Amino acid sequence: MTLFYQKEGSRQVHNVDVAHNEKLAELMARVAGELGEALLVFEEGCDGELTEEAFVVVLREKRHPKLHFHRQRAVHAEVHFNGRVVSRHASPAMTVDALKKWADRELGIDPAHAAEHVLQLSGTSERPAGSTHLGTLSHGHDHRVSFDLVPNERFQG
Amino acid sequence: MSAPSEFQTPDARAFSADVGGALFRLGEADGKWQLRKIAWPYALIDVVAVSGSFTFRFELSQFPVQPPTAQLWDPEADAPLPQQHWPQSRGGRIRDVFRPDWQQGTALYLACDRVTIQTHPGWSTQMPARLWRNDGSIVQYLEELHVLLNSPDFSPPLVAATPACM
Repeated sequence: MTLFYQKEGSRQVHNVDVAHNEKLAELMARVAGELGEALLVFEEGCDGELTEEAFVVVLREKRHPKLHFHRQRAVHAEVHFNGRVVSRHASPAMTVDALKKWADRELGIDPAHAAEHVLQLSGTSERPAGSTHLGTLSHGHDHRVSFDLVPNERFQG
Repeated sequence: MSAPSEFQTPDARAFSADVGGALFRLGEADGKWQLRKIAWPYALIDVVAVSGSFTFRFELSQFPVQPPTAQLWDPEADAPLPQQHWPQSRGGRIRDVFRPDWQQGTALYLACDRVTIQTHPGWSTQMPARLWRNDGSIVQYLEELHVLLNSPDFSPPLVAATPACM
């Protein structure tokens, strides 16, 4: 089956074919690269680390598993909006979409207004795709990622 | 889908590599879009909406250095999608982008669309985040469409859309 993954230090989505009985340790050895042996594995949408036992279940039950490889258990994510800041510790496998939904709730933004705003990396004009894992956006040993919640431009005129 | 060929032009090879890459395939696996056909320099790609899906015909000459341009397409008739089948708006962004009056419906009113950006040079400074990146992926354009078609502004066509293909 095809397994999709993202990892610390890379802004790309990767895919790899895995056997249904492949061990997590074997997969980690294949994808670790320059990140070395101290890697942790997370499944998208889950907070905790992925264990060998849980990996067996993932391979059995998910058609296209989505994993993240990172050296830290969490990244510190903050979202700035109209002079307010909300922050949290998040799994490196949390997506930008999921962080946006959480920030909308924390900031009390109703669904109609939420659809008019997007997350933009602070100090840049870059808006990562919703499927991007937060763990790909932290730099080096600074496992933080900061966004501004900005109005999405309308195409008019 | 057309197989890569040694006779393909560089832009066709670049597009084949893009849709064979993990980012595009992740969107397919997530049920966001599906490649239907490549007949260079065109490609037909279905994008899933809140209800149903819509086929877009992309014109991809000089991909990815030049942005794509796209229009709604009827794959059965192999012709532009009649307007009564277009996605409808509740008064927001869908109406801005799917404009029958813009280039007679042959391009979408997006900053990442080649035809549209060529006639709106001011957008380059007004909205840099929305511009096509010349090392880009068709996923950038598809994400714009998928977000729109799954937004609260989306309303089904006056006549039912093509059933979802996945």
